[in-house]
Amino acid sequence: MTAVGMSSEKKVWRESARLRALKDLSTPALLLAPSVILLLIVIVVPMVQGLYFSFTNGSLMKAGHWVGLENYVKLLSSAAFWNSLRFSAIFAVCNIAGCYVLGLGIALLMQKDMPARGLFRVLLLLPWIVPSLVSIVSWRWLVMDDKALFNQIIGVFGGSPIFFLSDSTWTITIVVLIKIWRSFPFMMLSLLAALQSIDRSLYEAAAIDGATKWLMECHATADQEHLDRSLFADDDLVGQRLRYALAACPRWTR
Amino acid sequence: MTVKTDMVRHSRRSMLQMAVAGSMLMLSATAVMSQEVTLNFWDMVWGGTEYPAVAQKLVDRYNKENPDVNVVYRAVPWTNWYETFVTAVAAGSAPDLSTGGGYQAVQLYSQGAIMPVDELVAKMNASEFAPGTLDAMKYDGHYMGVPWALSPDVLWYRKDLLAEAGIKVPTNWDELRAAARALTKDGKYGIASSGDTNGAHWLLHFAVGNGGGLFDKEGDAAISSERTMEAFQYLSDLVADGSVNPASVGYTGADARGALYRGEVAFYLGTAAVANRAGDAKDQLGIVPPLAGPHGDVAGSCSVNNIMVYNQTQHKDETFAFLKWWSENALPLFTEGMVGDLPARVSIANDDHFTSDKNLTYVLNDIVPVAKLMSEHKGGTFPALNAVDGDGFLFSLIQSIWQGQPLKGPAATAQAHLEDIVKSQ
Repeated sequence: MTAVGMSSEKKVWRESARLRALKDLSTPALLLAPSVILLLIVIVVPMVQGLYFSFTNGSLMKAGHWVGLENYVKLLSSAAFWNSLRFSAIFAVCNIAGCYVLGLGIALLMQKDMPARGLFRVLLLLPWIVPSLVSIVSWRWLVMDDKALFNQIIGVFGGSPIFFLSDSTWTITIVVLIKIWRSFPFMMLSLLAALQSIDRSLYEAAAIDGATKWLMECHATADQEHLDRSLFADDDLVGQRLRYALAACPRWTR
Repeated sequence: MTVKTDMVRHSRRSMLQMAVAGSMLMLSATAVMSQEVTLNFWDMVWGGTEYPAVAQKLVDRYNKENPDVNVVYRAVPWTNWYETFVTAVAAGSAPDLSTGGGYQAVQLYSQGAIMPVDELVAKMNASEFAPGTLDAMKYDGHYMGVPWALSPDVLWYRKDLLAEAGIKVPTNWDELRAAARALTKDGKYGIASSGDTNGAHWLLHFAVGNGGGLFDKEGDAAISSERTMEAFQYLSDLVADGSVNPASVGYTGADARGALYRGEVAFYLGTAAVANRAGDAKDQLGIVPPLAGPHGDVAGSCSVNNIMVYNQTQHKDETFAFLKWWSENALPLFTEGMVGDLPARVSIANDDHFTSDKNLTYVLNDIVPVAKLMSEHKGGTFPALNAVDGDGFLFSLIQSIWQGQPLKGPAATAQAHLEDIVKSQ
């Protein structure tokens, strides 16, 4: 009788605990619901729909019918697709690496006490501030043909003109360089902000321990997790790649 | 007291009468307003920056002359034009009528979006249009649209460069090749083109000019046909000679045209309006006559732009009436709107604006009559043409040629791609 009573008491207690847990969860669930529903409508549904369409032969005008993997087979056997993929890979890797190296280098330079530092900081931000259309048109003028400014400069040094936008290798190179030029100021600004928040006592400690300047910089940028987190918390491609870059940076140890 | 009561009664009656009269007036005004038909007209930007304003003015004129119809004008930019129309049709918000890509009507018709204009064409006289232009609108026994402009490819040359080098204006392919080679010196080039639409026109111009084309009589892909490959090889030879500015791959059509205006290049393939936009360089520009190919064919390429009506329209009669009016009254678009094309209507082409311009007169009298369409061999119009127009695989082909790549690979890729397009229609 006592055992039965205890068991039933346990049951009631468990039931009330479950209800309490459900009640505790209901408020956050209700608060989250609008966002979750919105995300489902604007992201998940179109994504699943897009995935389904990739197995059909429809168009914007016609629904089409199921063709299985035919579209994927066609895509994977297309030279244009592999060429685009190769270019995308080169573009992404070079852009991220270039922006980081240039951004970090200039950020380190801008952190030093130097004359007209404020002016330089503003000037270096210009590529990022100028509207895309203006900067791309300007770059086209600089590299468009043999009469363009870059080729005029090359000519002054006795070189032959380079048709930057006609040769495949040069086209990729110049496009990547233009992208780096446009994007590095943001990287520089972010890194500079993070560098300035590093505790100076770390440098002092490193100096006392006899670390070289190079090792100190590596230590500061690589070991400061808050730098990593503050810059790339959005977990974007750049952030992920930079984590690897930071991890690969030589570490200073005592 | 009685008088007062009467006055009040009288006043109440008057108020009631006024209210009824007002209501009647409101109702009749609403009825009149509801009779006004609204037509949505989407028009591509066919001319310079002034074009949309000129077109709007013309629409305003129509609205003034036809108070029961309100045409709403919308200028559509060429960027993503095909997606603009397809999305609108798919969303059920297509206009009543529009201009558009040269072969847009037939493709949208094959997808059930276009209303044939047979009824309207039956009321028109074929002689009102340039020869062959109405036939170019035919598909499946129906007229897909009403032609309003012709876009022939015109080969321009710099008179000063040819005169300085003592070179005569070429009359056949061999002479053009020799002239381009001789004029390529001192930082100047014989030919400049681009990797975009303008470059693709070189492909078409020389392919149909040589008796070839993109399609055969059955409408199948014919890039690998003998005459077409011969024409493309000719372009490759021009590149191998060093006569084509290497910057052409990365140029836009406007860049190449700018090189012509600056006198940095001797030959440029463009529209009939190239000289009229040349400013001070206008007098230095001349037109190369239609060139004879290696087999004696004398031809070039041309496209016919048209106005189409959508099945979604609720006002067929009013739409047809406006279309006819627009087609007949389009002169200001050419004279003030700086349209680069030529009018398809003979009455407009006979205006002083065209007859007093010797370049335009030459194009109308000597180039248009021998020009052939992209549909050459099969004839008429058909859906695959629009896919070719909007696809871009011809851009890849011409870029490969301008880069000096061996022709065989890129041509085979283009042929395979065109076969896919034809198969998918």
